[in-house]
Amino acid sequence: MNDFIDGLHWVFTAEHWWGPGGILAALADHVRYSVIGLLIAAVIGLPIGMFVGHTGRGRFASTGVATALRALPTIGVVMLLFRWRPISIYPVLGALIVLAIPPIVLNTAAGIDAVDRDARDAARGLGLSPMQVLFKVEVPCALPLILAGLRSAANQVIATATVAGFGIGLGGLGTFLFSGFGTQRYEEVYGATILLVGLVLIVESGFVFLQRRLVSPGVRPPRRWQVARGAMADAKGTL
Amino acid sequence: MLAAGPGWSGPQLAGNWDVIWHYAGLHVQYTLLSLALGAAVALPLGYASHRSSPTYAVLLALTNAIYAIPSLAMFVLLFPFVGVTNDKPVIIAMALYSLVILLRSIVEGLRAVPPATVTAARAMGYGDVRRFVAIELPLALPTVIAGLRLATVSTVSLVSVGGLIGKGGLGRLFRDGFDRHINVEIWSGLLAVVVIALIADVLLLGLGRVLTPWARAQRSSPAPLNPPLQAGPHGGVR
Repeated sequence: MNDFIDGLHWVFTAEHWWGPGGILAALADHVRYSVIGLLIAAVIGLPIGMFVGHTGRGRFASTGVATALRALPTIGVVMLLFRWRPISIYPVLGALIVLAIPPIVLNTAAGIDAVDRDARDAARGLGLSPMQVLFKVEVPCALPLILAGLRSAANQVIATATVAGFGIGLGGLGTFLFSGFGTQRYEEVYGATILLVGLVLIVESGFVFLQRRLVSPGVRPPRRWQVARGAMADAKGTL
Repeated sequence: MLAAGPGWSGPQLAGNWDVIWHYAGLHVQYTLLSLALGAAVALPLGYASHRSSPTYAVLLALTNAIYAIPSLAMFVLLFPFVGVTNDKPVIIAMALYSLVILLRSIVEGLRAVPPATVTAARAMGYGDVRRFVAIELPLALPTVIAGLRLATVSTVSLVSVGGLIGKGGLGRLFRDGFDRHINVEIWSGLLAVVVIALIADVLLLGLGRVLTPWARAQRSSPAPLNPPLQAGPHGGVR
């Protein structure tokens, strides 16, 4: 408990916030890496998930690949990529993308797969093209799950962007974790953890807000516990 | 760097198979212990969550928050309680991370048990605990095993972070390979982790098939054209 208070004290010390190695700079880097990683993963994962969900093809393959990707230990991937490009951010971004793709693909596919068959038939009967069926009926209906996938990907990406601290001068909140651990200044480790959990909570509430704004009122948003099963496609990445 | 156990010799793979084998064995041990601990905690929590929704809401929020704690910080958090020199920090951390998946799958599975079956069991005189163990849990198995597979794959992968503090199984090869500039050591560690995860996944899939023969019977019958009250992927009945 004392350690936790030490961590809070570290967070609330003004001089820790400013300067090139300060919390603010680390936070900015952390958010930047997370956003870039998540965006690239979404650009790759969403179309794949839509394809699998819409056509029903490649379901087995995508589950298998997602399991294999999930089994890849992020810390090992990052270390291997760091050996190849020691002081660049690409290893970290690569690992984040690999980590974020499975939940996005699986949730998108599961969401579209579960769209009411009647709604789909009706849309086809009205003369909508397959693309229109996808974007005007299936995606809006599947949106709660698609957002759940993005949300869990975002959580994992934020937690895992800490591996940037393993590199040299890449910044991010992980810097405090690794340096604090290495020098046994544990208040730094606790402080960075408090900031990270806070960041995750803010992003979570951001997704709750998005869900309320974006999901059509006709598609009743699943209640909290109902989201759970879809979110079971989550798995902790690493770190 | 490898504190205990055999060390990687030379920059090549040849001659190091026993090293991989040794740490793979450790990796499996860590995973099994973590999952056993996680399941032992998740079962009573799942029972309580199934009984009361507010409890479930609190436990979900709690396990989610735990999940957001980076593992290095989790190790540091656990050091004062369990010590630095043993394996407990890694095992307990992994067990805590697995809770978020295990708890959800247990509760989701229990919620999918047909109410008529539960009522019938109650009418036959099954008490609360006996009904839970003999009726509800077996019927919840398909979902529970799906969750267990997910938890297993992610735990196998995650145990590697123990390598950061010189513990755990194959993660130590990553750290050692990184520090000593031996790429093939990292490579072989990565591959071994994925292979262990996939084997465990297939084994659990098979176990699930064996334990729930009724689920297979349902699957092989043709799907109804318009499934009544289709349960969505998030388990909700729309």
